[in-house]
Amino acid sequence: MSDETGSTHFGGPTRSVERAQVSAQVKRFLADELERDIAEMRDEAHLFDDLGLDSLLFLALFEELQGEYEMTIDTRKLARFGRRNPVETLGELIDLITRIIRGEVTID
Amino acid sequence: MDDRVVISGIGVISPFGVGREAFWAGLADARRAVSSMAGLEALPEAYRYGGQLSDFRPEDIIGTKGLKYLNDATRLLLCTAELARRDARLEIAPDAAEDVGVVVASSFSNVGDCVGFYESLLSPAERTNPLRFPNLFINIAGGNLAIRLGIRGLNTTVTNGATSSLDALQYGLTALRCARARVLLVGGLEVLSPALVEGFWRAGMLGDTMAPRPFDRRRRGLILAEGCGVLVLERADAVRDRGAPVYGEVAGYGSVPVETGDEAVAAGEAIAEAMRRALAAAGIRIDEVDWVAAGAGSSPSGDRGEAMALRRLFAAEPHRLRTSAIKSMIGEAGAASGMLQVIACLLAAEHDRVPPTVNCEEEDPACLVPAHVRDRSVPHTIRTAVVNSFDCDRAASLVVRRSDALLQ
Amino acid sequence: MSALPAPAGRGEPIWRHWIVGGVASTVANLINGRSIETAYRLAARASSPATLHSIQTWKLRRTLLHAARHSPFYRRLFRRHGVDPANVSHPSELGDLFTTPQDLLDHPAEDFLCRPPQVLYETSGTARRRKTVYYSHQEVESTTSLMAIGLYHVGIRPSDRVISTPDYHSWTGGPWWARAVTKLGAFGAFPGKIPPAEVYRRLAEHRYDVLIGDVSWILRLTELARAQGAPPLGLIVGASEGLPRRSRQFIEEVWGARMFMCYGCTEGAGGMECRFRSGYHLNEFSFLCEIVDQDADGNGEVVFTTLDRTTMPLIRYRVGDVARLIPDPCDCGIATRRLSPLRGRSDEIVMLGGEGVAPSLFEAILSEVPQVSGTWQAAICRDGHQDVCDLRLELDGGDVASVAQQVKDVMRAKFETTWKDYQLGLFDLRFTAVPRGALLQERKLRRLVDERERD
Repeated sequence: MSDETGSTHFGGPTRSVERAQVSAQVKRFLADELERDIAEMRDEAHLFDDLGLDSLLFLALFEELQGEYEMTIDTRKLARFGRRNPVETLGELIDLITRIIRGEVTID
Repeated sequence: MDDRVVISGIGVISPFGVGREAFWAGLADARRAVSSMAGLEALPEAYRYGGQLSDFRPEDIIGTKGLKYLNDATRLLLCTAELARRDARLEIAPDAAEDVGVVVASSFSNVGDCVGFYESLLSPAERTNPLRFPNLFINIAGGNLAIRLGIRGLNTTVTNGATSSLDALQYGLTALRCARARVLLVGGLEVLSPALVEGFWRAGMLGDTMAPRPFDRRRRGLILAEGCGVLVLERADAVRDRGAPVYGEVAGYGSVPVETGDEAVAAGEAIAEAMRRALAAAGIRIDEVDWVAAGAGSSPSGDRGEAMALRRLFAAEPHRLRTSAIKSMIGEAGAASGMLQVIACLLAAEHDRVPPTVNCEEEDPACLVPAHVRDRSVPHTIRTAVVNSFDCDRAASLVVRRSDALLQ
Repeated sequence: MSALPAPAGRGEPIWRHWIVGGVASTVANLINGRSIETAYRLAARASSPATLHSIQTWKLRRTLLHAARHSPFYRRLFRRHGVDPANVSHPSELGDLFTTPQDLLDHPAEDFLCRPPQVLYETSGTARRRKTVYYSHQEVESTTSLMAIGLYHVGIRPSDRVISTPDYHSWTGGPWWARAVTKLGAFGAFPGKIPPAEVYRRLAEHRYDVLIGDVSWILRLTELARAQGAPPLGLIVGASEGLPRRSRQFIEEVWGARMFMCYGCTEGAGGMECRFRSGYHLNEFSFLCEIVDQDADGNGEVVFTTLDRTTMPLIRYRVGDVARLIPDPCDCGIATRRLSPLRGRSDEIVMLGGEGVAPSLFEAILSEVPQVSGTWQAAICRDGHQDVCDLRLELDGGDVASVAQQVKDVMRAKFETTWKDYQLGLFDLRFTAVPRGALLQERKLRRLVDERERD
């Protein structure tokens, strides 16, 4: 859902979600997809250099989260947002995702 | 400086099974590897046949890790390349990774993935996984092979119809001679899917004879197949440095377009000219050819064209010549066929035996082939072989020479 | 229908033949030394019957004049027959002038030599005396070039790997095949007539495509191959003896290869089958062949006149074989005529195990075995694919077993080539004691009879 300003945010009330819950979900998903041990999914791990994340995996991750939290994200806007707000470590990614889910961030 | 291009490793996974030994055993024993295919209920029963892989478990060869989103074609290529790599005792060191390259011949190996992806896109209930997106590209297998083995040199996928494998080998030969790489993994790769077979059926190209019958008067069209062959190609001087054994040499290549007009006549002229050019490039005389690995695959006009070409070129009936079509046993594997035929030549030379054409009990009088070996494989010394690939657009030929022939 | 024009009449002006024949012959000689393939194309395709006739006529005239001038034997012979060589255009004009093997034995070599010789061969066979035939090196080269052309015609190519097993000894077989194969440019091994088992091992090891050998030797090798497995062979050439059709089929089935026969003699004349295998295409560039004393079917004695030989030319030489000439042109395109498979010999010599044997051989052996009376007969038969020499003996005391042993001892001691052929299994020996008087039923007892069937 988007309004005339072209930004995307959630309809309905902002969600209250614990970072720890998001962290567990993201780490479990990535460990599964990357076929790595969950112990390697440390907050300090570098997304590209250490974990080998690529753009398609990001998309897959957001597909998963959209399903989980009943959100809709325009992938192009997400991509633009990601370029302007790069994250380097897993911890930073989890922080960002948590804020998106809570509705604290506008993606445009 | 020895710039001949030699083959130092062979990997093959085919309807005969996994590996070189299984492939050769199938050829030598004249097995029929075409079987009934599942998932083709839309077709009349007589068309539901193909040369399919059996007993192929990628995890047996390359383990389970990292395979999750790789399509069938990629898994097949990775496994076959691994067999070839082991055969050549090739280790790819990081500092030499840019000298190693990949060339893959493939045309319809991902049709099933494309159809599946679009079906998922069009289905409202299903969420399409973006990780399946790369499988829409025919070069996905070649790309993943390089990623997996750490290969950082040239990477090309050749999609040229029937001549793809021979074109890929020629491409590799040229690249090695120009020092664009020191070692190449060159593969021919095809995977069957129900959508693909149905497509061929709708185009009227499939035959309902349930078995491929090259040169037989009952032939009515193709019977498709899947499989993968990978060769490790190097320059002769590089192989010597590595101390690896050599199977043979890719010695000459010719490729000619098929003109319009009578299909059989046009194909025949193109095949004859392609063979002449390949022999000339290799410096081989007509009477030195020990085996023609024919490209005939049960096409009503194409087989006749090839027979005409062979009768014309070998009119003097040289005593060394033998001819047969291995598609009679495994089917028409599209872009991979040429590679499977080349591997058959190398193994036949090693074992001093020519595989036969099977299923050709009633030779078409218009398709008589000189020195035709039928039904059973026969002992023969093979020093030089010629592989033919052709369709209605193009004909190509490749000359393969056995390794100790290089000593003569 | 005859492929060649009728012989020129007496006194026909030679100048036309001189020009055509001389030019063609010179060109051929030039090319001969260069490339067998080019020579083949010239010989096979460019030679029409008319050109061949011109070449032969010119060469014949040259040969006769040369022999008249330098050979005492022929000088005398021409004088005795009133022959003027300058006026002869075809050997048949020489009437009953012939050269016989006996002439070679009765006269010293110098009577026949026109130039100092460079190479010596003796005829094979176990007749009491061997005939000596002399050549120059250049003549050997010419003859073996034509043999190379014959090999090319049956399909042997420079890229083939050839093993040649005709024997060396003192005759032309071994050395000439080796030279022909070398001229063709093929890879070759020339071990001679060694035991088939030794060659069998090497076939697979060295991957030969082509085998050349005496027929009886090839048959023994083939029996080995049938029992132990036949390595792939592309083509087989058989020499020295005739080949019954059944035996050729047997050989071809075991090896999966075609077999071609050739014809030749130490005195030089020869021919080779083509791919249609219906007679031997004669080397009519170097030999002018006739059949004399023909019966109703055209079979008669083979007579040839050398056309290229200047060391020891032979004029109307009765080689002893009986056959007929096939006049029709062959579909293979080669212009030279074909000699039929041999019907037999005009003398008493019989081919046994690749060698000609005469009654004198058996006389010599049996005279040293006291238990054998003067009444005996050597009969050559065939058992399966092997020649059998059945010695039918009227014994004067003693038993067959001890007589057999003595015969073998004498053969081993005094007739080594025959003994070697027996050891190689090229023929079998049998001994049959016959009742007194059984052999004398016929008016005349023939000492050596050939009871083998002709196809």
